[in-house]
Amino acid sequence: MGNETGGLHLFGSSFVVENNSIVQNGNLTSAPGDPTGGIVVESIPGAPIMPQDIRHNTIADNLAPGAAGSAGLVCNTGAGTGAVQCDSSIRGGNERPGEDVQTSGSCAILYSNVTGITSGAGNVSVAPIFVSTATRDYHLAAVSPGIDIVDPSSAATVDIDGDSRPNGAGYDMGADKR
Amino acid sequence: MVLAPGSYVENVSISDTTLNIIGNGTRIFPPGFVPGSPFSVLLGADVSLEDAILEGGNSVGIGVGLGCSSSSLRLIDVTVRGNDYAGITVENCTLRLTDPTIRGNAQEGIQLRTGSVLTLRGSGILDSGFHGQHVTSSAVDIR
Repeated sequence: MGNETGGLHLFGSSFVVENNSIVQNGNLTSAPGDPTGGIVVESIPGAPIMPQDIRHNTIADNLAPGAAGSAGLVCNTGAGTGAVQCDSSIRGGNERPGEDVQTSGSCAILYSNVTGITSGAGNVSVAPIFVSTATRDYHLAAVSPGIDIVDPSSAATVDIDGDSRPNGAGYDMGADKR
Repeated sequence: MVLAPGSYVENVSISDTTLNIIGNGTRIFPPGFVPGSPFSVLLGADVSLEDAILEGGNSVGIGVGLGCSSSSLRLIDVTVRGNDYAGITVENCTLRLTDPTIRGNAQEGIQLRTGSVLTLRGSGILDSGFHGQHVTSSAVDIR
């Protein structure tokens, strides 16, 4: 949160990224290094480096200064390097100058709430409704549409606060279990 | 090793040994008159550090809060803040962080270079000058 160039830059690595709130990173005007916004994944040619899983994360309100940068989640992976799995996550409010960019590249997106994307199993595009973005509180509000609607086969057992998942009728989107 | 509470002006460097350190909330920062880092682990060391604050690494490009090379390091409830370079920089290092606060470092919060393994639980990486985390040719598990 509040990191100047971006949240997370993964290059030629294996990863499991789960239950993280990656929010309010970057800016629209300038950033040192390689501007990322939320998350950028880059692969190196060759055999897949597994796992590459991004699940139950809240990636919101990140900014990047130009077309070369990211904003929400970008998967710059080449042929034969394996698909990045991204499920049960929320992406919204991520911007580059003049455009919303929630996701680009070759991410495999499932059971997520991504502004502008409704294709793919379980994906929706609706306002996520957090408790208070002004105070950096990205817990799900009681009326959030992300409650109880994600991948029923999710393996997550806790949320960002250590609370047990699932709770209620199903799993919740993003890092927080309401 | 149990440290007495307080502030220590040190460039701590641990190599080729096994050491468990209980910090008791102590602050460790390097002397201001030479470039350096408050805490470094290298050359096959196996170290755990609990309940400490690492800050004030000075000189751009050198002043990392915590450096780890070719070693194993576990941090529990450690704060890394206000360093002139990255908060944590590791290479060929196995690093486990539990409930860290990494805040206000001039470059990356955590910088993983080649051949490292990071397990991060309960992360708080805030207000870095560059990325929160920058990972190259390593394996990470962040939850």
